[in-house]
Amino acid sequence: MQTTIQEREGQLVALFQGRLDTAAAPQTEKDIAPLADCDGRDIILDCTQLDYISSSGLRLFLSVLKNAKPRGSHVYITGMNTDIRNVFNMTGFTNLFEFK
Amino acid sequence: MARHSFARRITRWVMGTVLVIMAGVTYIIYNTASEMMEFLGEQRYQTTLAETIHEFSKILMGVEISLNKTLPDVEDNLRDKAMLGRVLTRLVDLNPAISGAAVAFQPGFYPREGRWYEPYARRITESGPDSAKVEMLQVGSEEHDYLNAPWYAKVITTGEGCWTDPYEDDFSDSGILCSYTQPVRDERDSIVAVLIVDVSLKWLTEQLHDIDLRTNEREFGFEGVYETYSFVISRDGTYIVHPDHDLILNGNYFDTAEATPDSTDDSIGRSMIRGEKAMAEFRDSDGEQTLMFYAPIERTGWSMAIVVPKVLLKVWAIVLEFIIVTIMLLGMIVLFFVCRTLVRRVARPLTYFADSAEEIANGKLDAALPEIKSDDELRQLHDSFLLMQTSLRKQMDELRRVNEQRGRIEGELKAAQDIQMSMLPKTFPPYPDRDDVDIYGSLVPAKAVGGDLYDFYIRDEKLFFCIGDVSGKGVPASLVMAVTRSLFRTVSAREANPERIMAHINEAMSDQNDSMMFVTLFVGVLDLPTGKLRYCNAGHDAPLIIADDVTTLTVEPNLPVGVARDWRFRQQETAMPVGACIFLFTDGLTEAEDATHAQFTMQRVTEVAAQALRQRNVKPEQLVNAMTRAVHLFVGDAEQSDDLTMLSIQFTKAMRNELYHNGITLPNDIQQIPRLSAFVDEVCEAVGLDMATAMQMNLALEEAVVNVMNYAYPAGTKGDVDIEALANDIRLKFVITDGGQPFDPTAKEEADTTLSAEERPIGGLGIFLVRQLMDSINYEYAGGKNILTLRKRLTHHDDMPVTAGAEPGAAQPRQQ
Repeated sequence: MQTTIQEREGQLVALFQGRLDTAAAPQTEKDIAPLADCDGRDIILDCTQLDYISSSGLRLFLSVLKNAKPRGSHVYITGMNTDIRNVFNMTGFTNLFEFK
Repeated sequence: MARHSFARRITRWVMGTVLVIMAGVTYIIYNTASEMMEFLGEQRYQTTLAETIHEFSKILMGVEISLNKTLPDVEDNLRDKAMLGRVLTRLVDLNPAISGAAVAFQPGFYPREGRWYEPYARRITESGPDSAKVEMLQVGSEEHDYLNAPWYAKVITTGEGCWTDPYEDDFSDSGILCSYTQPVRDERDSIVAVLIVDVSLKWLTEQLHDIDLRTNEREFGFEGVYETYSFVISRDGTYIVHPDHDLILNGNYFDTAEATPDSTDDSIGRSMIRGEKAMAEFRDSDGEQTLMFYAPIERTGWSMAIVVPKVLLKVWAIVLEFIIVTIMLLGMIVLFFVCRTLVRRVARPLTYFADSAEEIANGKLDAALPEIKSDDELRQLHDSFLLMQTSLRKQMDELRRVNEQRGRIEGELKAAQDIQMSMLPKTFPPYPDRDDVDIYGSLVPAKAVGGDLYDFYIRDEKLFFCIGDVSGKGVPASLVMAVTRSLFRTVSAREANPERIMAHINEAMSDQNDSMMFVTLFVGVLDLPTGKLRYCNAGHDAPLIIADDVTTLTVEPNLPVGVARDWRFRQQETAMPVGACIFLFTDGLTEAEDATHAQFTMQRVTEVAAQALRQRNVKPEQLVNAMTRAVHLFVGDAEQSDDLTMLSIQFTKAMRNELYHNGITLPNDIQQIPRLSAFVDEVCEAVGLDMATAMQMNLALEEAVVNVMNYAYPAGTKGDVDIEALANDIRLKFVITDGGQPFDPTAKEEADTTLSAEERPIGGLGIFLVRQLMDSINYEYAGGKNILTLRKRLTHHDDMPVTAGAEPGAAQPRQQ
């Protein structure tokens, strides 16, 4: 599981690569810590290369959103595959996030 | 027509009464009046008689006095014819009663005059007013031989004066006469002549005739039939005065009296001649009752009588009676009209009242009442009617209100019944997609709503079911039933242990159980994968187990729910063989009564079940229907006395061949998740699942195992988690076993996926995802191990209907 944070055109972009399961979650949590200081900049969670996500991963996404919203930042998700989108649908996360 | 007869009847009664009273009064008055009239009549006739006799006597006495006063003058002038003529003339002239006076001389007193000499002064009645009223005649002659007249002889021989009998005189035009005589004596005191004065009886005749006329006029005499008449008889009974002039001097009373059959009049005649005065009664020649008043006329020896037909004395009484009757009849006619008018006037409001009453009876409660102005019984009736109307209206309103209320209550009761029935599972078969269980239930309440309940549902491959009977019936019981059923659902949603389910329900029911209602309840949890039945009984009838034979399930009686809050319920368990049927019921079955109050009894229930078993009709629906038929046959037409509830559950799990078996043991470290992932991928590939489903399996297994790692083993403790994968031809099953502390993940609350980002908790998604991804999740704690079983139907088989994969979790009713 690889997580990369980039700053692009005033936006914070997190690139996820591989399986975000319970085992990988603690490391990923550390990797996305910079997203906490979004300060109004929009956050893009790029899932193009994300193969799998479990509830631990969903929790990380939710904490990013809960942190960003009060700061005036939008959280966008891009490039989800069908399986992951199904998981999002099941859990109601589709309603929480914005998608690009 | 009724009112006419009413008025008529009253009139008839009044008239009748008045008539009777009047008749009585009339009779009394008639009797009294007739007696009085008779008495008065007698008095009157006596008086008349006496007065007449008195008058006549006065006249006679006047005549006597006149004669006696004249006698000396005659004696002084015996020798002087002229003077004697003047004396006689004056005598006649002075006394109007005297019609004539004469002196009859003895033969030879005047020798020149011959043998007879009688100077006679006669009153001339037919002469003019100024001419002499008295003329002198000399009437003594051979033809008028007074010397041989009885009176003359009598005077001469006795030397005393007397009254003669009546006679007819040739020289007098006065008709019947009678005379008073006195001897005339000369200076030598020898009788030389007789002084005689004639008194015409014409006066007496006229007087009596007058009396007859007056009385007949007064007494309404009927000419020739009822007439009073008067007569006078002489000493020998010769009529002197009589209305029939032919009889005078010619007829004799005794001749007349002898002609009548009655002899009373004969003795009356003798009495008269004796000079007696009396009143006598006899029957005349016609047989009529007749009264005769008679009295003697002094000096003469005559007797005078007034004859009165008795009926004439009653005439006045009859007249009076006639007047009274006439007045009464007139009065009665007036009374009749007054009475009829009055009664009709009085009855008219009654007629109106009758009409009003009829209208009221026909439901027109505001019918107008007749106006009553008087303050009497009719006013009272009017007021009573008014009160009746008001009170009827009020009662009708009340009745209507009560009916509306009852209707509303009935409507509400119907709604309550619908709600209650909708609480019960009523779609049968309830799980057409399942091949491991078949259920049929029936509840027939004795009233609109009842206190029986049954319920069942499947959660996490466990069949939760219960049957119960609330004490009492009707609405109160139904409320407790609803509460019990809700508690059962709520409690069992988080709890799969029957004794704890029962304990929770008991606690809730015991609290604030003011109405002291209790429930006998049987709660069972059938683990569908294994057929293990855990159950807890709270005072309910033991169910039947129908397998190879019919047996009664051994149950601890415990206590009914709601009796003792702290009662420790103990559960029991048994293994249900495949094909076995559990038959639950309430006492409405065993205690169903026929018309003679005999009960259906447990024995019959067992017999029916045994027969069903022999006929291999133990499918739940068949069993319940057979039981229902048997009860109906037994009860017959008797009213259902209690709610009748039956629930039958057959465990029909088909044992399938295991086609695949694999396993892995992981320590409780989340870093081992990739190994789990690899194992799941391997299994999925082995059973031929596609990539997407494989990923779902991965996700479900990771969530379930992480859950176990996090909760079964508290932080810092070490332990293993065994994951077994099994597959038959239709289903893939993962069994996750650990030796950690007992932890039921299925009892956790589900995540609410509709909350916003701010509201949503960070955690709680794990088991939710497992439920979403797998067809079922089943937890068991057995042998000191937590056993969590996840199942997924294999979709590539066509021999079974597939729904679970397409819409995960939708195949089973599930507690929300």
